Amino acid sequence: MNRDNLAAIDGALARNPRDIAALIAKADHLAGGGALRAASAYYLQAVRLASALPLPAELRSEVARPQAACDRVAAQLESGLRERLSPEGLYGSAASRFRESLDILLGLRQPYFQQPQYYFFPGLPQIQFYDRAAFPWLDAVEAATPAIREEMLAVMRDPGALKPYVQSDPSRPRNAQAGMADNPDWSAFYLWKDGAAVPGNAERCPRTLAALAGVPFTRVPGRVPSILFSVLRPGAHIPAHNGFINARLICHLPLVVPKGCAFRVGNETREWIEGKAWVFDDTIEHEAWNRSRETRVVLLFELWRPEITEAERRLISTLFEAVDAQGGGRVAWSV
Amino acid sequence: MAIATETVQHWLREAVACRARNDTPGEEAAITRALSLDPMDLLALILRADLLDRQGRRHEAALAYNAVLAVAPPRERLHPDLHPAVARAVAFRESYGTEYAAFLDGFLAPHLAQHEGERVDRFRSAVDIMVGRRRRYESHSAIFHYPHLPAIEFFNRGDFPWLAAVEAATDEIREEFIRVLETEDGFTPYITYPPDVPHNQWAQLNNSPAWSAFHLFKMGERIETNAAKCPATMKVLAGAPQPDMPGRTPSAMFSLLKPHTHIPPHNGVTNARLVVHLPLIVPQGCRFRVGNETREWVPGKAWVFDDTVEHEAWNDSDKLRVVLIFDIWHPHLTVAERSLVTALTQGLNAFTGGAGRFEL
Repeated sequence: MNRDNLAAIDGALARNPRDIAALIAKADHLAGGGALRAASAYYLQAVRLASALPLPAELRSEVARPQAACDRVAAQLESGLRERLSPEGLYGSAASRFRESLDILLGLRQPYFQQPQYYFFPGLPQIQFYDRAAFPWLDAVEAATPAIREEMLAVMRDPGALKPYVQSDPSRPRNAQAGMADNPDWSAFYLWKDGAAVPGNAERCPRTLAALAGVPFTRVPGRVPSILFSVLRPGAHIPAHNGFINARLICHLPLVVPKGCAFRVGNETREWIEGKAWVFDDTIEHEAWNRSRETRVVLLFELWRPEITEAERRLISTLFEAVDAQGGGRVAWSV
Repeated sequence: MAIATETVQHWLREAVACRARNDTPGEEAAITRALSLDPMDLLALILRADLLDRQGRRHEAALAYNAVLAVAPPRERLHPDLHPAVARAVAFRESYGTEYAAFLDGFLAPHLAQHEGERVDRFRSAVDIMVGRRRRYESHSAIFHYPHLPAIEFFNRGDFPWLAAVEAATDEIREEFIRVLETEDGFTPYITYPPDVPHNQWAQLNNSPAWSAFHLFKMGERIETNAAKCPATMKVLAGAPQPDMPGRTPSAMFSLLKPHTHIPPHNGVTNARLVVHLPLIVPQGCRFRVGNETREWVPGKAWVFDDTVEHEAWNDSDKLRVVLIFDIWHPHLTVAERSLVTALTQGLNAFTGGAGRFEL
């Protein structure tokens, strides 16, 4: 194709609007005339189409150039938007949801959605880390951090106290939790497990349980809540995974956090800070790292989502009593 | 015992041999040995599921057949000898699933009755999704996704107290529409992509009179010549929280769907706004689906839905269907967030030197 022949280029696009070579030629023509923004629209279309196709090698190198042009225009757009929005309060705390929407618009972050493995409750907001204002009882839990840590350290002196976090279930295929089942890198000491206090364990941590008195625990007999010290060994990586049911949330109270640990939920990665709790939705893809040389310990427990009404909570509990009453194996809701 | 005999094949042969001589404990032990060596071995999983089924251990068989289906490759890569076993697993799952759903329905009925009059529709949907009677739908905004919002197909009308005034004006609005229709002026095709833009599923309806509109607001602009003909409708719109995204919204129009026309499934542009329908003229045989839920328009009864959840529409009748459509701010956006979205749109326009399109 003759790049200088605009009529030929337009003709090719009229015949096939997805002709990548013609889109690039049109963009080059517009860019040559100084119409950079119009050019970028054609470059962008070419890049989008090319990314979806297996391309011949000679066209591959051609696509690198429009990609660079798109990147330049995108950077310009981003700085222009941030400049325009900052006087509107872009960086204030009231705008955190909006800032995320801007990042998604600009392609800097991707949206993540709840993907529970087992039970999906519809119509809930998709929130990775919750605003702590929704959980006024968190202050009391955090205030007890020194006492909780003391009880945890006493327990950890007993070498047999810890069990692998995810124990494989012989009646289930193992692929769903590949890399986590029976992995000693990730272990736990359960104060409560599957809805009941663990005899011999709960008694060893009275101050921890007292500090949790105000927590709206999820309650389903035989299933939830669980309360545990979650122990991540040095060098361990918990691969990305999704939890089982989105009717509950998970709270972490970090107790021992060496440098070099990180936790990702959806598009947000945070570092644990000792004594600072957070609440997150474990049905959104999440993963954890301990890149340090020391062990990381977090107190972990589960609670009802605040959006779920009392009537709905009772119905959900009843539902799983019914599922269990029907017999057969249970799907463990490990956290 | 030599280590060489510790193979999955060995224990599978052993299991089959045990079965031939009706040695059920031996068969069960051999299958367990095989699965201990390879928990994903398809043949061993099939033998276990069949054994549990023969023993009448229905719940355990259900778990075991699910494991078979989780591990089995797609049919084209499955050995033909295993087709009957996988078909058995599918049939078992279906009949067990039906029985399971019926059991839960019966069990929950008295509990749901205790909550008569309360809003437990979300819970009903959750059960339907769990037993496979409904799918999960998410909000997928084609252009601007606003995070952390719930994906609700049809909103509860209690969240929109101003809807009553909209519905009360139905007759006046319809009269204005009919006067406009008689002049046959101002109608444009609903989908108007230029010919050199890819339009995928819109090929049939692009620039077509089968789906046309009479706009009162279009891409954020009030269409003065049209608005002047519909004062009552404009007054109703003034009472709605119309979104302010310059060059894009608000939108408001009479939407005309011609007889025997289907609007294919699609997702809207942004979940920062919702869409309101006020049905004006609805012949028998029209339907509207958002996500899991398909409804029929009823003249004078408005609803609010999230158009970023997959939706589609049908007019299977021989007559014209007419709905007043307009957009509103998503009610969960705060005042601060709305003003930021407005500023963002202004910023996009300033950058491109023009306006985008947020069509409904």
